[in-house]
Amino acid sequence: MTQTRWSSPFTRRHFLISAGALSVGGLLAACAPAAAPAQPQAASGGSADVNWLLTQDVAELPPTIIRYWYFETPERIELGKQQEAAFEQMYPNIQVEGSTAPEATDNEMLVAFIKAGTNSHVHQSVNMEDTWYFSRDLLLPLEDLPGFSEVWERMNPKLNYTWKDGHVYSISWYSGPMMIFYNGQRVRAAGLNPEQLPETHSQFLEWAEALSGDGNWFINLSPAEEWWRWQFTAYPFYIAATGSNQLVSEDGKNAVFNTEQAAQSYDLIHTLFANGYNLTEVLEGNPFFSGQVAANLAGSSMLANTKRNAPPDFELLVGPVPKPDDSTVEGFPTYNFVRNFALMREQDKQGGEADQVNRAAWEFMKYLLSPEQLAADFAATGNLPPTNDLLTNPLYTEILNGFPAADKYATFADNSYVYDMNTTVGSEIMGILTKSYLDLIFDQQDSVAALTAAETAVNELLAKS
Amino acid sequence: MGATGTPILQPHSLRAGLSSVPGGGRRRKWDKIALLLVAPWVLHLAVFVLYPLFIALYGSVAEWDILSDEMTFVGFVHYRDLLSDPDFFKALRNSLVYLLIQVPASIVGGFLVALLLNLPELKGRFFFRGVYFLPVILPAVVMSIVWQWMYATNTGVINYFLSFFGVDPVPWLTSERYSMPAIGLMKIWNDVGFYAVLFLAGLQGISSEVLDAAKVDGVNEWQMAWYIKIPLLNPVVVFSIVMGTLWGLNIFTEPLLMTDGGPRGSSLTTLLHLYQQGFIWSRLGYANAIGVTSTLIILVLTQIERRLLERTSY
Repeated sequence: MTQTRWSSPFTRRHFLISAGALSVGGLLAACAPAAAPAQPQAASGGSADVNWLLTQDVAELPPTIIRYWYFETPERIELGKQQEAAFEQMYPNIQVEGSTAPEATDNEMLVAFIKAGTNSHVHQSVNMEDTWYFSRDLLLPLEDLPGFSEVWERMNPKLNYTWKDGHVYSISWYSGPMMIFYNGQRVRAAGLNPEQLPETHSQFLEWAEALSGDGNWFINLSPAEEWWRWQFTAYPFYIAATGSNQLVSEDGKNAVFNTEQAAQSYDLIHTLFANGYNLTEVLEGNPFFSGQVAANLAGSSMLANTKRNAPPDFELLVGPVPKPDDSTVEGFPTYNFVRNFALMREQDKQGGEADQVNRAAWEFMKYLLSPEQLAADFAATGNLPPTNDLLTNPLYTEILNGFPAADKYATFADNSYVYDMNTTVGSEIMGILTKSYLDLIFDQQDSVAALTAAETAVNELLAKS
Repeated sequence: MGATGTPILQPHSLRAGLSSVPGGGRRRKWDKIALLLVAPWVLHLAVFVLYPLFIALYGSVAEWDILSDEMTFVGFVHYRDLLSDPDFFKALRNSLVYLLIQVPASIVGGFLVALLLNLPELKGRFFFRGVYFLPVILPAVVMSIVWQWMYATNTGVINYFLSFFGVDPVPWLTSERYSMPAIGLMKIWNDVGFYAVLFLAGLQGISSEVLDAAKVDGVNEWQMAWYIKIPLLNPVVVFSIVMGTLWGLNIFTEPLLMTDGGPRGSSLTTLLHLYQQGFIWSRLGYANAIGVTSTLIILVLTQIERRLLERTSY
């Protein structure tokens, strides 16, 4: 009998057929549509009558593990570890698996982590990326979750948004209004008045001329290619000139940024590059603290950075983002870079198990957004808490007063805008505007041509989307 | 029936024939072992080559949402978009410029270094062989960062040395004109050692009888190199050019780290464009179309090179 079995050998033909079948099977399996993303269940889980997502007291949750990525700076990573430990002590039934966020996970490489089920449940997002996530059903709406109102009402409404579908997909975590910071020593050495910082384009260029030359530069707007650069280079000047953050019409159908005021802001930027006032490369160390660059367009992190890293005698001055000489815009509006917390749906688990994870993650997110934790983050990073009581709550004002030039900075900060939220393709629009900025600074197009080309591209994009 | 009228041996009759000859059973056993030995490689080929190849081909004619894994057939839309994508043509042009600068210079440089290192009278030639090969084993990331510092306009060591000759600071990586040649220059430095080792092995494989005969005939060193050594090194030359083309058109890490494809896309390469479209903008179908098109271009180019350069007789 045994011999009979062996007399039908596994031939080369059999082998090839099997290998082919395996390959075809694999290909078909790979091409088959995957299961739909998990939807939160109204009532499910370990106990059929428990709605874990809406349960008030998370202490009742079964043991649950959530993931959290610390992000960006050593200070914030250290703080994240402390927050994780403190939260676990409060809720021993919830384990926070903390880890430092991998490089380049803003949204570009994040998809791979989502697919692998290793992404952070409490995700550190920004407005224009929120739209990308929620249009792919990755974010959990927050407005019905327990305790939402308490958090929402503490936050500055100017820095938060409710999407057109009525859902709140994220809550602001910290904010960084962009201002022009000056190196006081350089300003005094050039015979300029530190009490009268530039407010108009012509004054700004006069200072640029006075503070450039001999191996020094006035400012260092980045000429780099990353799609998101525009918000940190041109957007503050755009908002200062136009008095608005709007790039797309409210119905999301047309670009509205190609205006005379916008062209004036582009002209200013062009002059900074064309006249050699702008440093066009990354220098070792910090050229602003070393004095090689006299001015810096930056957000609130500059406050903590100066406190920690600037030479002891460094004098930090803070001024507005300048507007055109003939501007009718009131005050000095600017762009405010706001980092949000969003809740990434649990993808691997289903039903009640997913609800448990999402609920636990929401509790952790609320904890991170508590006044005490916002203050701790503020102290560690200098990034402003995005709350209504920033200038009145002693929890924040004591920290604020410990930073150089903070009082003046805070007064400007109030007149700031987040990224325009009239479309779900905000990231793509930012990419187009960054290209227009590059065309401008590399002398390929003048301000009007660059804005017109961007307008055409954005309108095409909006028509497609 | 075969052309001569002889019956063609069918597989089962082949098996029957084998089992009837002495040692046929052992042969069958060895067949099984051979198949088992080949199986991991075939599996590897199926999973890591054929499957991705199929996905790339199908993905290039589909809308692919990576999150839901849904692929919807859309025909040749991505290829049509590719034809009207100025960034793709810019990337292609940059890649070809890079290729024209980097590949010939690296190969010629490698050949010259190999000639030098092959001189028996050169003292310390084993040491120099190691030294020239060092850049090859350097990680691309480390190399890119170090060269980025060296290329810095105002503080870089290259401009510092050029200043002794009265040359104004060159914006190596921050001007559209120089960014791609600068990356090419760095890669020449990187690759010369690799080609030198290839040519050195080729030179040492040339029969001393051929060289002695040429010497007897009175050829000088130059004639020896041009008429004897280079023709005999033809397989090495063809291999170098084909591989140089392949690697050159696939350059990615260095432009990503040093310039991110800038300024204004002046150092954008096809692979970098593919990466940006696929992973930043999540246009996976379009990225696949770029990949398939680039592969076809590489195939055509390398085939042309082989046809033009490969010699079968001397």
